[in-house]
Parts: sequence; structure tokens; C-alpha cells
Amino acid sequence: MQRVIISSPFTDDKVIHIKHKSGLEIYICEMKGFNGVQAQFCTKYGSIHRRFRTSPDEDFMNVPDGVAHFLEHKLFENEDCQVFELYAKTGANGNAATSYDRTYYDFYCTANYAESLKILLDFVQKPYFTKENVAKEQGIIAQEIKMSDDSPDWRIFENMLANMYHVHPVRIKIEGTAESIAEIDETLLYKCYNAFYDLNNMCLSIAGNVSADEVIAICDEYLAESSKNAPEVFMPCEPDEIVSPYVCEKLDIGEPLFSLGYKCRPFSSSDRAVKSVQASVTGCLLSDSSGRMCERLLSEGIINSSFSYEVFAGDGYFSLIFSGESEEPEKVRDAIISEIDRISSEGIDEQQFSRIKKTAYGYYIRELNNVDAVADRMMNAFVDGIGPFDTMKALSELTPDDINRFICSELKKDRLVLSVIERKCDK
Amino acid sequence: MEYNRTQLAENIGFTAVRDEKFNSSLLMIRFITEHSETSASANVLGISCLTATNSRYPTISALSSRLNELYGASLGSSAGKVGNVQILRLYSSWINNRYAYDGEDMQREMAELICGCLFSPNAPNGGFDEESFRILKNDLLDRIDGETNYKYGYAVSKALGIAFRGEPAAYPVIGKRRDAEAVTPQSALAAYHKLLETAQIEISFVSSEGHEVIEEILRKHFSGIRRNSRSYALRCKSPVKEQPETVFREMDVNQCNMIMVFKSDCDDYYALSMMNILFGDASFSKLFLNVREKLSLCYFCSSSLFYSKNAVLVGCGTDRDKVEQARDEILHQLDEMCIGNISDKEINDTFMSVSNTIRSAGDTLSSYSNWFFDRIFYDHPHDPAEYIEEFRKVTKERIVQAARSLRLDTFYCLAGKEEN
Repeated sequence: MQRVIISSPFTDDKVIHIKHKSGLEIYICEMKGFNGVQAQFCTKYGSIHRRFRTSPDEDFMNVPDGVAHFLEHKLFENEDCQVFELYAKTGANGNAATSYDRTYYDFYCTANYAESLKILLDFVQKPYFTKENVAKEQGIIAQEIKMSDDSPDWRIFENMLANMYHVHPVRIKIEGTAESIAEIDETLLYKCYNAFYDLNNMCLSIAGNVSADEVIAICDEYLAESSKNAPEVFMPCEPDEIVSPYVCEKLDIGEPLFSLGYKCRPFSSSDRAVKSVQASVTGCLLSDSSGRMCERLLSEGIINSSFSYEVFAGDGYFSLIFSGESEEPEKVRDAIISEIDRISSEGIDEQQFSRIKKTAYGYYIRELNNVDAVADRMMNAFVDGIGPFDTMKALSELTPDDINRFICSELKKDRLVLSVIERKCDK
Repeated sequence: MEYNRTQLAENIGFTAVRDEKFNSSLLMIRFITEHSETSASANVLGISCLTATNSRYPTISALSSRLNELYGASLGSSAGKVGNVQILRLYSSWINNRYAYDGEDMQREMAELICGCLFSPNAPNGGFDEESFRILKNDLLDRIDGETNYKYGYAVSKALGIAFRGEPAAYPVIGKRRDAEAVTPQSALAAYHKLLETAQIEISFVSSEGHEVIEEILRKHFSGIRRNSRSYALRCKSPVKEQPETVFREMDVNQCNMIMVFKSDCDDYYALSMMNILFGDASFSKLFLNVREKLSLCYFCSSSLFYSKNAVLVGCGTDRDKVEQARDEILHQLDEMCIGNISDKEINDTFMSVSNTIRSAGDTLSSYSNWFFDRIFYDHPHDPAEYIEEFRKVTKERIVQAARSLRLDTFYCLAGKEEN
């Protein structure tokens, strides 16, 4: 096993990358002076992986919506105890999360990290699903679904994706529905587990007060060699066009929300780091309160300080999204379209570009002060198939022309979806 | 780590923490004052106006551009409520000089920019600049209106309002709409001037660089202001109601958010903290393992300690027809603790959890700032190891006594509408 040292281009930070003999990719960042350790054991298995096969001889199988998330819940139950009880002995704070393109199990601790790492590696490799424990989880997850259905932030985001993507599974809710999770049983969970929880499809990201030698020794002891290959996932062919430019839902809320997403072309993982940086700087240029458009919208009371952007990207999807609170979201949409038209014809203001680039650089630097953020950065790099500092490098090489080209080629007004949550009752 | 503490002027404390591991710096200025209906919104607007413009950068756009030039340095404000006290925060963080590729002296630039905001605000006619004030006031009104967007937070706010009725702690930290609407550019500036004169001010600076430059600049400015301040205590117990008050409110929601507020007369902080963790503030807690894992009644059921008010809040999201069962199980788990049904393993797990949290102080700039702020107001050891030792001394008997001291004061349920 070869240790590759990856250095940050602007700081003294270093990441050790190892392709372990088990098949697992390991990223370690030894952070001198920090007490805490953040570890993330991640599989490239999320809600979008709903049609797959494990051998070319098999037919593709469809699974009910919400299986990846359900599986995440159930891995916390061992044959003889709850995983949380094991973490309780070490003092670590364990958790897990499922998103569209990944599931990860993590812990944060400030002592006994070696013991906590053994617990993490062990329980994720030892599924224990029974009819009884699967049935027990239905009620808990049904409540989690209701909680997210009451969240206007989730509703607006999910509505936007459903109106942006025709067939790509990113349009489907991560947790599924009460009906879809009722179809899940222990046999299905084992099938999905065996397909996606293969160490060749996984990574360990660990940052903070750790020793690389000790982490590797624990991995040598706890990881079983895996010779299988990652499953083949079927992704339907998604057209470039959107489903519908506008969607509105009324909820019992006090302040209306909007989310405005440009459907961009999807990019392969090798291009995604560069395109994500371009999209991010574009989002910052348009949403920063130093910009002309933002200044006007604030002054006219059309937006408030909640106005922000995000880049949402993964296998087969890529979107630049603006969101916030507004009584007049159509005016925000029109202003963004006009500003993009203006930039497309005039080009971007180079001084503003330079300032925004400095802002993004400062953000990257400060992020390296935090063990959680560093562990996240390494995990994201694994899922995206890039190096942990590639986005910093892409930022340093970014030019105004790159942004002009990104805007012209990706931000098309006929690929814009406005999702709105309005008040059910008047103020 | 190096720690220094000094006074810049009357009742203005300055805490400096130097830790080589950081690549950036944080300056946090806290104004501590009484929390009241008459001043809450004006104070919030006063502080937020400071971070939006100043006389050198007189528009939101101009100040924002300057911060972008300084590598996206952050400059913001927030308001919090601890006990009956309002705490207004002005904070800023920036990268250290060695990472500033254009060679700026970041600490000096930021110190002068922040002092410009504090001591030379954009206030031309006895009030904050009308244009930026109007934007920030709309922002505050939107935040007030938006409280119902987030159902759990809304339910917590309503439950605490009932539990602490008649006390300053009952009042929303950013005020109510009618009070916010009444604030003018002049009254916001006056509120800020009053804070400068009368608030207890605590400043912390955390960095890998020395504090001398920033301390000198801040001292020069703060020593020139008139002060007539008092000190505040953050703890203020709340009397328990003779009978628990129950409030049931309907909204168009899928899930019921039920909140239970318990009050205590116990002064044993360490035992109360350990009791709260074991009751519901950890994934090995009695509420998590029983209400969620054993009975599958909810996705979340947890407790949190409001030490400043000697209160414990339990929150749970469940179905409307399961509210009673969930409430009974929560009370049953508390009863279990009261009769001493607590194992040595549970006590040890609780101690490990609290130790883990304490040791994390110092891993971020803000955690250092918060740690030393708490040391000023609570009689807790400065050294994390000594602090951990105080928790190690907590016995099962002390935890039982803390559990027995809890009295249910308020039961609030934000429920979905019943189908006809």
C-alpha cells in the first residue's frame, strides 16, 4: 500500500491518501494542536442509486424509494446491542447521514479515537437485519419523513428538483414516503448492503488529533479484503430541458420562500471540480451584497439578508441555485435573468471578480481550521473523484473569461425553475 | 495556548487567547444588558446597523466590497438571551497575515475597520443612515414573521414564553413585530449609545498572532467613551407554577411538536448537567433509548438544560394520537431516575460524554471565545481538566436529587389539525 502525500497549494496542510489492500480509500489529515477527531466512513450509495445490478449477467433491479436511508438507520443495530451504547463507552458522539449520492457514518471525539474507530469500522461491516427490527424502524422513519415534510426549506428544494429533472432520481425524496418504506424488508436491505457497502465503493476520511500509522494499523486489523467490484448503477437519460419553470406550494408559514435553480449540464467527475468552482464564484458574484443587482433588490425590499446561493452537483445533475425569502419571487427571477444577460453582453467587472475570488480563497483557508470541515473536504473529494485540494487549485487558476463562458453556456433562462412556498393564510 | 485578560475601561473586559494552530483570527464583542420589551428590538437593530455600514464605507455595498477585498473577512451581529439578560454580539473573523497574498496587515486593517463601525457609524443626523436602516429593519421584521416557518423552534419559543411568563426571559430575543416597527434610525442609534455607556462589555480575541496591536487600538477607542455600567448575573431562577399549564395549539402541520418545560430549585450544576444528559441529551439517554428506540414513537425526543433559568426542556415530534403515550413515557423515564434506576454504566457513559464535550473547547476560534466567556459568568474552573474532575465527583445520589428536583411547569403542543 502506497502512502501518497497531497499538499495544499497555499498552506502547510497535508493529506495522506492510501488505497488500502482491502479496497478502501483512506484519507488522513493529522492536525497538530487540535484535540478533536472527526471520522467519516462513507459509501457512494445514496437515494439516487435506485436501479442497479451487481453482475453483468443479472437484470437491473429497482428498489423502493428511501432504501439507502433506511439501511443507514438499521446499521446502528448490532445483533446484541445498539451501536450508540458502544460509542457511549468511549465518549464519542456518533451519527450518520444519507444524501442523494452518499451515506456516511461518523463520529467526533476528543479522546479514545482508536477505540471509536474500531467501533465504526466494525459495525458498518456487520449488518444485522431482522423482520422485527425492520418493522420497528418504520415508525421512527415515518416521523422523520413528517418532520421534513413540515420543513419549508426541504419542501421548496424537493419541489424544485421535481420540476427540474424529468427522470433522474435526484427528483425523488431521500427518505422516500410512508408507502415506499413499507415495502422494505430485511432481504432487500441485505441485497442493497451487499451491493454498495463493498470497500471498493467506500472511503474512510479522518482528521484531527490522529496518527496515520495508528489509523492504518487499525484498518489493517478491521478491514476484510474485498475483491468485488462496485455495482453497476443505471441512470436514466435525462433531457437538458426542465419539466416546468414554476412550482408553488402553500404551507402554514409566516414568511414566503423561493428557490431559483438553473439546470446546467451534468459534468463528469474530472470536470466537476472546475465547473463547481466556476458555478460557485458566479453564484457569489450574483448574490453578494456588494453587487449592483443585490444592492437594488435589497433597497427595494424584494430580498433580505437570507438571499444566498448553492451549487448542487453529483452524478448526472448539476445546478446553481439561488434562494431566500421574498414576497415577490418573480421579481428576483427577472432581476437575475437581466443581470445574467448584462454580464453575457458586457462581461464581468474584473475588480469585482478579483474581490470575489479573494473571498472564496479566504473561505477555503479558514475551513482548514476545523476538523469537521477538513474531514468533509476529504470525503467530498472521494465522492467526486478528485483530490482534496483540487478545488483550491481550480480557484487559483480561475479567470474572468472562465466565468463569462460558464454564464453563457450554462445559465439559460429556459432552464430556470422557480420554486415558491407561499403562506396558506394571509399575514 | 496563551491566555491574557485585562480591562480596557470601566467594566470592559478583554480576553486574548493565542493558539498557534489557527490560520485565522476571531474578534467577538459582547454587549450584556437587561432584556426588556422596550429595548430588545432597538438594541438588535442598533448592533446590526454597525456591521452594515460606517462613515468610511457608507453603503452596504461599499462595506461588503471592502470585506471581500480583505479575503472575505466576516463581520456580523447576533442577539441571544441568557436568563433574563440580552447579549448583543458583534463578531468578525479574518485570515492571518501570512496567507494574505497581497501583503495586507490584516489585523490592523480589521481592527481599524471594526473600530470605524463601532465609533464612527454612518449616522449623519442623529440617527443611522435611513437607507441601510430601512433594509435592516425589514430584515428584522421578516425574521420575526418567519418564526412560524420552523415549527420546532416556534414551539420551543412559545413554550418558554408560557414557562417564564412575567419574566424578561419570556420575551422574544429580537422583540415582537409591534416593538420592532416602532424603532426609528434615531432610537436605534440612541439604543446603541446606551449600550456603549451602560452595558457590561466583554471582548475576546482568539488568534495564532499576538493581541498587542488589536488591544492597543481597541483600548484607545474604548477609553474615550463615557461609562456608567453595571455587571449582570446570567442566572435567574424561575418560580414553578402551582399546577402545570397545558396549551394545545393547532396548525396545518404533519407532525406534533410537544414541549415540556420542567423547573428545578437545585443548585448543584454538575449533577443537573449529568442528569440532563442521561435523561435526554445523548444517544444513550433514557428518552432516546425508550421513547424512540423501544416504542418507535418519534424520530427525536431529547432534553436540554437551561441552566440560567434552572429549567430542563424536553422536545419530541410525534403523531397527534401518540402525544399522550409519549408524554407518559417521558414522565415515566424521569420517575425511573427519581427512584434511582440509574446504573454505574450509565453514569460512566454520561461522564465520558460530558468530558468529550469539554475537551473540544479550543478546537475552534468560537469555542475558545465561548469557553472563557462562560468562565467569567459562572463559577467554573478555567482549566478543562479541573472542570472535568468536578463532573467525575458527581455521584448517583446527586443525580437522583437533581432528577427529583424537576417539576413540570409547562406542556405545550403544536399539533396538526384533526381530520373531520
